[in-house]
Amino acid sequence: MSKKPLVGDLGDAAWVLGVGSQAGITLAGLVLAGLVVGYLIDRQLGTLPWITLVLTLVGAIAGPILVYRMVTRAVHARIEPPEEKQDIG
Amino acid sequence: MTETAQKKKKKLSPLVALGILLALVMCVLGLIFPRGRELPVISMAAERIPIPLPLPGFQEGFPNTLPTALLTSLVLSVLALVYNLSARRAEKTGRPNRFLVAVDALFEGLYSFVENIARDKTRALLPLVATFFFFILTANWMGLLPGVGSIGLYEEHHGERVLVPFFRGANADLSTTLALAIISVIAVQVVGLRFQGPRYLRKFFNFSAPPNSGALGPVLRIANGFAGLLEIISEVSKIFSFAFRLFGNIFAGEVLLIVVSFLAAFVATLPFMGLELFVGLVQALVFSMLSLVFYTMATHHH
Repeated sequence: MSKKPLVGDLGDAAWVLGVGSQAGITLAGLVLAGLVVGYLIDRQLGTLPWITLVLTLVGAIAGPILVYRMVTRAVHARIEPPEEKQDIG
Repeated sequence: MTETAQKKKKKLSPLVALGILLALVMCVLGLIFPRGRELPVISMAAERIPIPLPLPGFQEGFPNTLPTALLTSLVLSVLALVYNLSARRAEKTGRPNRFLVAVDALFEGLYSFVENIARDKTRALLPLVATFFFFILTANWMGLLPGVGSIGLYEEHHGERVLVPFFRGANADLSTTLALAIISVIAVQVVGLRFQGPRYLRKFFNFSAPPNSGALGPVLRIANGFAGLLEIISEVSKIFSFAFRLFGNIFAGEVLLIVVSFLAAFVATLPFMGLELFVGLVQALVFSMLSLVFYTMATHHH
């Protein structure tokens, strides 16, 4: 038994945990950010539910798009070694 | 039960015996000592230690996470110095001491951890990622030391007597984690510019359309512009997700420890202390790993 698999497993676990929690926080955070920013603008302009509703929806739509982009890129960066330099060994 | 198993059972190591004895003593102490009459005030922001000198920027006092953060830096600097001295001595004598071997083993583990993701960029990215890892890990674990959060001054706040501790876990304050997050996200941009050059900025400001797009050209330009806007939002959201994840985990751990030690002193806190050690390690690992993932993503052209 070599030491490398242990480090690899730990690295994989941290990778999944990191990217997963980032995805979760992005999904929830953008909806919340839309809500808060919308509410602040609405309170200034006196148009209460409308801008809050629109920005919350924008946050809810942008969240999954951003998560999709982030996860696909992270997986690409993980799987494909850059500049055709394959990791041998 | 086999004979060997019985033999093993009979032989109690002195360390285990001492542990059991200590646990028993703590159980008795936990029963004798009265539990806290009132739950200590839990402040989400770092408490301010009053200082007699009117320092610029610290009129309201010194935030109590600052001494812990400075102490963390000091501990890491001292360890680095000791490592340097040990390495020099090992060069002369040819025999490395235990500390040198331990640090080397730890660093080799971290190197292969980074190499697994960054591959040929490991040498460029390792210093920053390792710094994040060691700083966050040390700060998290130092927050569990006895005296942190419990030794301080009593002060009057809104008519209440409140304990202002001298030390508070550095990452149990949003300012520290926000600073770390901002450094990490700025470093993502620096890494992107360094490895991709000005081409990296096209990720944010791209209003071009493929030459053969025909009538769809303007629509694609707008779509690309919108994608750039999404990228900017994504970079900003990274700062907040980094900061809130670390702060939330560590602060929640501190509150948990305070509440549990208020409910039942000594023994009941021990499993949670172990849990906090684990959470501290995992959060340091997640922060550095996620930074590394973003740096690696920034070195790629899409």
